[in-house]
Formats: sequence, structure tokens, C-alpha cells
Amino acid sequence: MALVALFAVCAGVSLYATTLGTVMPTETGNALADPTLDRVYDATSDGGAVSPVALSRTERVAPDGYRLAVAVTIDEGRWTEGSRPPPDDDGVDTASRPVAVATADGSVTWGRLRVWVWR
Amino acid sequence: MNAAIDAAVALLLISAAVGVVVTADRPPATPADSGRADAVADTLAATTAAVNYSLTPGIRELNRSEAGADLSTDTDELDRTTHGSLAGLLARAATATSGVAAVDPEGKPLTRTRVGFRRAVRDAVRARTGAGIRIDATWRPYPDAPVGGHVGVGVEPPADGVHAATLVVPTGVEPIPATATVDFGWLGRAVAARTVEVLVPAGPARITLRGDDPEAALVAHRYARLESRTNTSLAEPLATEDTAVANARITDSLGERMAADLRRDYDHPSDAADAVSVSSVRIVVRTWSGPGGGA
Repeated sequence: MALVALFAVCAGVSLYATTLGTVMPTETGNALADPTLDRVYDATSDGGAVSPVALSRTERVAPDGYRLAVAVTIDEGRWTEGSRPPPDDDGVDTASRPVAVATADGSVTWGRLRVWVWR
Repeated sequence: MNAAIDAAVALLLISAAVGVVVTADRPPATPADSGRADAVADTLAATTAAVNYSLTPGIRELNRSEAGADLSTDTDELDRTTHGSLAGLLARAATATSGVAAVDPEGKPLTRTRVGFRRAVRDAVRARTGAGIRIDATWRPYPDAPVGGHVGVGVEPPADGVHAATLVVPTGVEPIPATATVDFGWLGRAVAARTVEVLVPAGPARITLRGDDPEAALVAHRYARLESRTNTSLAEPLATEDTAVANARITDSLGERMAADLRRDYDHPSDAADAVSVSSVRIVVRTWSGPGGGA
């Protein structure tokens, strides 16, 4: 009898642990991508406009122990820096914001700055 | 037997715990962009665009008016291009289509001349910002002033979960001098003078009136509207294109009304002066996440 009870309680605790594991978020949400986005923006922008040629400066602002990819997209094109993020979203933390992009022809166009952070 | 009851109670408690974990309120996952109203505002200020528009709506209105003009709308003389920052374009669209609400309480544009411009600016901004963003540019000399203009881009935001940021763009007229803030009469006149300068800038208006192109007719039409809205007589100064005198007459009429408004709403002229915002357009950006939002 005691053995059956012990078994049942063990089964119940395992069930609880499994449920907890699937329900609780494993990642920390946008805890890493958002501040990284701000640092990338500060490193690449001058006078409120992001310069695509300054993207190479973003290596310095990657969080320790993480890899960083940065992309600037406008209607006419796209600039990227860093290695390609893994295709599946697991463990990749991403954030984006609208930015003004200064292009070589002197115009400042509406664009989007996106960062990916992963291990 | 005791062990069985213990086990049953233990299982019951564990099940309850599972239920609590599953149904617990977790903060909704916010898309990466939802709190970025300030980023949108910064980008509006820095991004430039060229908008193409036509003065045709003004000409059509003029042809329909009692002046009975018959000007052709089928000419590229009416096509215009304006280049500027998106925030600056929004501000100009708000002031250029402002209304004087002496007759109709919620001001329609004084004239429809820049209605095409407002539409073009709205389209240009909407094409860039995407969904989940509402932008309102408002020019109003003081709260509840009889004169003012407004441009809105995007759908109305939901009741909650909205982030907001404000941007102030100058209209190009001088701020109210400190000497005008000691007396309601002076303050009203100072506000009125700046308001009129935004509605019909005296210098450019004089040069335009001297021309013989459709735009001269549009400026004359604008003065005619102001004449009826403010109950003034402008025929004599405008016969010699003396826009300074014409504007001064409109200022006299508006100034009395504005002084009365301010005297009614504020205890002291300096309090009223703090509420005056005639020299700036306020742009409010609101962002939210939701269906189709957060883009």
C-alpha cells in the first residue's frame, strides 16, 4: 500500500514539474535585445540619423558571451552586420525600432533597425 | 489506509498547484516595438521626404464660390512639390489647413487650397509608419482658441496599452514677448498678430497677390474668407495689395476676441501666456501593440 502511495505521489510531482517546465518561459524575453538595440543605435547614429557605414562599430556593443547581428532596412535596400542568426527563433532575442537612415546620396529616409542576440 | 489518504491529499494539492501554474496571469508578451513612441517621434523629426500635391481643390472651391471665378484646373501650373522633415511637413499641413471657427465651431479649413497638401503629407507619413501608430499634429494658439488646425494619421488607438511621445515643431513666428504678458489686451493682440501671420504671412501674401497666376486668386480668396469670418473690411487695403494693413485689421478683430477668451479662462495674464502655444505645432505620437500592431 505504502509503495503504491509513494509511486502515485512521485508521479504527481513529475507531472507538476513537467507542466511547470512547459508553462514557464525559458528565455528572459526581450531583456537583452532592447538594451542592445539602444546601444547599437547610440553607436551608429549621429544627429538622429543612422549611418549604414557605421554598422561595423556594433561589434563592440554586443553583450559579453553573446553573438549579435544587426540589420538596417529601408525601402531601397538593406545593410547587415554580424553573422546570420539561427533560422529558428529558439533562443534568439530580437528587437527593432524605426530609425532615420542617412544614405550616400545625402537623403535621410525612414528605415528600421533590428538586432538579434543569441548564444 | 492512512497512507492512501495521505497520498490522495498530496495528489490533490499537486493538482491544485498545476492548476495555479497553468492559469496564473503572466504579463502579455509585448512585441519588441510597442513601447517605441519616442523612437517614432525621433525618426519623424529626422527623416526627410518630398511630397507632390496640387492646388486644384482650392481652385475648385474658388470656382464654386460667390466670386464666380472660372479658372482652369487642367494645368500643371497648380502642381507643387514640398521637401522637408516629416515632422515639419506635418506641422505645415496642420497650420496650412487651419480653420477660423467664427461660424462653424469645429473649424473646417479656411480654404481648401492646401487640402491636397494635407492628404499628400498624410499618405507620405502613413506609408512609412505602418500599423499600430497614431500621429496627431495640432496647431492651436491657446486651448479652445477659435483658430486652429489638425492632421491625424492612422487609426484611433485602443483604450489601454498605449505609449505616447510628444514632439514640438516651431511654426516660424516669434514667441510672445515678455512685455505682452502683463495685460490681457496686449496679450490677446500679440497672440492674434502671430495667429494671422501663420494664416496669411504678410510678406509672401503681398508678392503672391501682385502676380496674375491662379495662386493670386487663391490668396485673395483666403482674405475674403478671413474678412467674413472676422467681420472686417479688407477691400480698401487689398486694392493696393497692402497686406500689412489688412493683417492689422484682422488682428484687431481677432485680438479683442482672444483677449476676452483669455481673460475669461485665466486669473492672470502670465498664466494665460504660459498656456499660449501660437508659435509651435504639437505632434503627439501614440504606439500600441495588438492585431496588426507593433509593426
